Amino acid sequence: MADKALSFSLADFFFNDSPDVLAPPSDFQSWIEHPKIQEAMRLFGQQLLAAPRAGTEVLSSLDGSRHKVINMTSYNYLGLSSHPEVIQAAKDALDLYGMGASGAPLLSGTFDLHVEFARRLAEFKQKEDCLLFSSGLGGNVGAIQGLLRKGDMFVLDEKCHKSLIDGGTLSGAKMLFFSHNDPSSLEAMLEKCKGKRVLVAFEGVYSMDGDLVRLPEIMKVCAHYKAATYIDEAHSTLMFGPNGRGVAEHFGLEHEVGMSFGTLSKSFGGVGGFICSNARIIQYLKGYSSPWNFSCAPSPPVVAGMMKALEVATRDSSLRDALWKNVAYLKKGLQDLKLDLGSSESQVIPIIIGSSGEKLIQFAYEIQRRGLFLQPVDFPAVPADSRRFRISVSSQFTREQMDTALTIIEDVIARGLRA
Amino acid sequence: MKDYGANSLDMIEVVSTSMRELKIKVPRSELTDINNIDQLADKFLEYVNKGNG
Repeated sequence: MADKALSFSLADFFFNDSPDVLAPPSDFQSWIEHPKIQEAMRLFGQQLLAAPRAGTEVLSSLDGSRHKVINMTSYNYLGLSSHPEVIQAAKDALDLYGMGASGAPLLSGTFDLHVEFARRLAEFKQKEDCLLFSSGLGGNVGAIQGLLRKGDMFVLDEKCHKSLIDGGTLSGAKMLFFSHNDPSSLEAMLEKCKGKRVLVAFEGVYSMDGDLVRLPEIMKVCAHYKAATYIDEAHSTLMFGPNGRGVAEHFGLEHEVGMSFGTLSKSFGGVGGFICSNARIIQYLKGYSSPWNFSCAPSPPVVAGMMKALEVATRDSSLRDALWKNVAYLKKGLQDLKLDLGSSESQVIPIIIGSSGEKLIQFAYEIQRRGLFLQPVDFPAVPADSRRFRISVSSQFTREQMDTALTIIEDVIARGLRA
Repeated sequence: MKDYGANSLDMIEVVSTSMRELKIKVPRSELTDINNIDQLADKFLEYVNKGNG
């Protein structure tokens, strides 16, 4: 194992063969303690020492000291996590309501804030009602686990997020994965679902590649088979569409999609998740969606902050206009460097470097040494032949920050790949 | 295995439990090019003959 440590990954230790359940697999320890694996692992979980703004500070794994960095990793796409109005709204709610909701929503955890925010989110997403969750993952898990049962069919794009898969597993439904964004593969899967209750899930923006769902084609197939539809707009809400309502609005199909999920941890800049759909199914899910009814309701200051974030992001288009301007500028700069940006069509821009895990880690350290916080994404999170860096563009980047970042990317990645 | 109705999670389960039974460990990264059960069996045999991974 020791000499082959680099050919193994977390994917190899999922099944635990240790007789002691409270011990990891026998060879996991020797693998994770291997110097090369330790070097790679140190890159992950580095501590931020300030708000995840475009310019922030990290406690760097390079030398264990503070480093000022340009932050191209955080999901703070619109800068709302530290927007002064959002912070003030959260502070005001903290004074009035305290820190926690101190109860599950059905008992004592529902405050006027939760009801009002859910109403506004439903209105924003053009749906009848909305359910708020304390976590984004919990929202997807809770929706799918609440909607489907054993005997039902859950058909997902193969690149869907783990939270959807976990929800499917928990529901007991049979899961079928269709080839990414491929309507004919979806059709083949739906052929197998005839006579069953079926839900089809896809994402607005796919988080590792930054490409959009081919919504018109996918919806056409779903309509033909009368399959219910679910869109995960985690990486698209507040950014896509004429009013920022997401990719479904962008394609003019928001009324056709049955249920819409969003997260509060990305463009919103807080934490939590929500689903919007028809009022009858939302009412039903209140009885059966465990992450909702068996979890404490979202923290009041977070809810108040997120309600303000929704207002700030939708009162005009200035934040998303600034975002798309930055996306265009950075993308042009990266294309000029002849880098492989995959099929990105959004503020998520991968720089695909190929199959070398060693190069990925080497570049990652060098990039950070130069002052850019841009985290690598390694196998098994992405295929072994397309390891990558993933830029999260923010509306808050200045031209100077983007130029500096492009220079670092040119020096380290573009030149490194040619070497 | 897709032809037999298995999804990617089923495949992980089959591959992992087979390796456990055969007392071998094939890195997942070596399995990415495998397209059918015959190729998987060949790969397992290669590791069994090598006397573990």
